[in-house]
Amino acid sequence: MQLPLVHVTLQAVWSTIVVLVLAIWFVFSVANQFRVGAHWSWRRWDRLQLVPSWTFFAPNPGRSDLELYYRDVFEGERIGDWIKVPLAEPLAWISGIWYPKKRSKKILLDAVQSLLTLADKLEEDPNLIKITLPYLLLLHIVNEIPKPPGVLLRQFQVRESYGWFTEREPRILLQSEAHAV
Amino acid sequence: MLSSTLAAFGSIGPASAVKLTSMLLAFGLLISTIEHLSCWYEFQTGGIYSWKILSTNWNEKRFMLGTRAMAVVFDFPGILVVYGIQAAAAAAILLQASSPGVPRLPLILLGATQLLVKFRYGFGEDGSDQMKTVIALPLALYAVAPSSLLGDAALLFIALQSCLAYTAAGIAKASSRIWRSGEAVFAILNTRSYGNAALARCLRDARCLKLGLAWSVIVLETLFPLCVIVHPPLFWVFLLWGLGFHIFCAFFMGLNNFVWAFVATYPALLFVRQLI
Repeated sequence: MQLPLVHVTLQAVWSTIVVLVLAIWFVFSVANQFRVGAHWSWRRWDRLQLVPSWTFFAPNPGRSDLELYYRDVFEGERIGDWIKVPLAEPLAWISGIWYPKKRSKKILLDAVQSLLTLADKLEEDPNLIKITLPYLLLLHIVNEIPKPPGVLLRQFQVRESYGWFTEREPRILLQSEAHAV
Repeated sequence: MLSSTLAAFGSIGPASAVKLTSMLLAFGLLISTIEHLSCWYEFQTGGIYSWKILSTNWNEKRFMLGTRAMAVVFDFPGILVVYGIQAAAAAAILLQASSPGVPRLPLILLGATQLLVKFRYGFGEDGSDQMKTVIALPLALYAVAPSSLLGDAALLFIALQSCLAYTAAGIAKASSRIWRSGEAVFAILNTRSYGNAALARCLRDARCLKLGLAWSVIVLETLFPLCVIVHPPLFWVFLLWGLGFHIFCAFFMGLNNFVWAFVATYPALLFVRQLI
């Protein structure tokens, strides 16, 4: 006779917990859109980024493309040309349904934006940037590209270009040191 | 006549809303997991999603998980098993479309695998991944011990997040000078990453068209939450605009996963409308 009572109690406890979690989650979601409590440090506890940010392409939409390049330094100090890393193919009509390569493009965008933010924060000790995740990720991407014989060092560069119809010239956003391969 | 037809079509019970939301979410997740699995080589040590690199984002001791235990799940090929489970769970939900109710275990697995995937990343996620998470987790919590209260709470949460997503995006655009001037539409569509050369060419000197497109997005996104209180014809106008907007973004900007993620919230909006 007691089993149904236990069941009802557990259900009630679970329901209360879930409703509370969803309510708190929504309150933090609202706060995050309008940067309420931006000075609080609660965002660093959201390591899974469960609190969403819905301000797509706003207030400052991305108006440029990021391109990753690398070059090699060979024996005898000969320096190779900059070579573009093909991270994503151009959009095709099928991209509206099936577009697995979009994440490579997004990962580069996120890594570069994060690196630029970190570069500002670490201005006093720029060497620290070399042990950050976005730097290691970009270095890893270029380092995994097959190397011709005689390569000693490799470095990467991120360039920003401004679309099809523009008179602005591409510019170099950041460049790494040459690292041993 | 049209109004009464739409009103009749627009009624949905909580069980049906949960089922429809789960199926749309499952379809979206099935596409994105197969997209991930088709790039399986990128999860290897030398790939872009290498765990060797992404794991530096985590201080494993903080989570009291050993490096080896985490590697089993998140390194290659463990992460492919996680995606495989997610794809199987999504397929199970879709295959049981004709049976009453939602299969609980697949729904719980969708939520659990979505958390694992979020844990692994840190870079490369987009808004559709966020939306899939805010749908999958409440549904998984509901599926642990289903009740009408939890079904209603999950649907209300999903509907509120959907309204917040549209309106926050609209307000952020309205606060931006480049959006208000209409130039943002051209600026985005002129990029190779998210644009289209033919559309950019059409828009380049078409000031009125740029203004019209930008302001239609600003106004409809900002006012989107009104869809839960307006009369049925207007409700369907909001939803059809949303669907059209996401399909446009899918085909011209490559944001294909947004269609399923955002449309999956529409049954919850339909349900919440009836509560008000």
